Amino acid sequence: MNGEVVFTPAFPVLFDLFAYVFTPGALWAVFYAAVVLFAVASGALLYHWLRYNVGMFRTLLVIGVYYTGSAIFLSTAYASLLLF
Amino acid sequence: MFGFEHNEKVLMLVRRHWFLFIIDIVFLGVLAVVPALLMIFIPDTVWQSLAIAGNKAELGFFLYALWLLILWVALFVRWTDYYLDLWVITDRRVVDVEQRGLFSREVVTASLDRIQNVAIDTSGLIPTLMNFGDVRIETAGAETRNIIIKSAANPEEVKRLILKALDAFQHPSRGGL
Repeated sequence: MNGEVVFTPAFPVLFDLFAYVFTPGALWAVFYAAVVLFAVASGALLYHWLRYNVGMFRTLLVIGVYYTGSAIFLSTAYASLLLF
Repeated sequence: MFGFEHNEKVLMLVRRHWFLFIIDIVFLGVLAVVPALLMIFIPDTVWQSLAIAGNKAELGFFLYALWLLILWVALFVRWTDYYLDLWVITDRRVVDVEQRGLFSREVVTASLDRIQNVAIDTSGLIPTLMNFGDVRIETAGAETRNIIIKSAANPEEVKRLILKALDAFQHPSRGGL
């Protein structure tokens, strides 16, 4: 080193770790895990809505809104992952 | 939902006051906006210093879409919890259907002949202004539990109806409800 000052900024070293975390393989794994969890939660919700429904029209409306919104978020995530 | 007896008449369905569900919506809305605000206010130099091999904007969209999906599902779980958590007052009993999340559900019944007292508890500024509060139905007997209708809208009306049903149940000769 011969007395020279070596400056090691804290952030960039920490940020280098992102290169190992945010790899395409890891992100696809996160996406598939999210899809599985979403399917489980949606199945449980659907079970409650159909078993304890008060009015069929209202139930269908809720199911439609829920799955439409979910499809938008899932397809956005999928498209972003393809373009990553 | 649960079995009614022959000729049993439903007098009222009570749910928690809608204001409590609105609070849930606002909370989830804030959580939805926070990452977007972070993305806007964190300087570009920080983003540029991230060692990510790929399009950082698309990564941001991907993570944000997943975050919104989580909040979206959470919103409907909360709504389902709110909607299925209800109290049914009939001309023979009071039924407490307690929905806890998605995988726990409890149904407690108190026959009108077991009811000893009905009390109201409205405490706090918002419950007073919005007219909601707890209705406590005290029952006799060790094997029956008290029922608390939590945050019921218009608790005075709920109490009045229960007492009226109780009176009609105990003195059928005075005429029905």
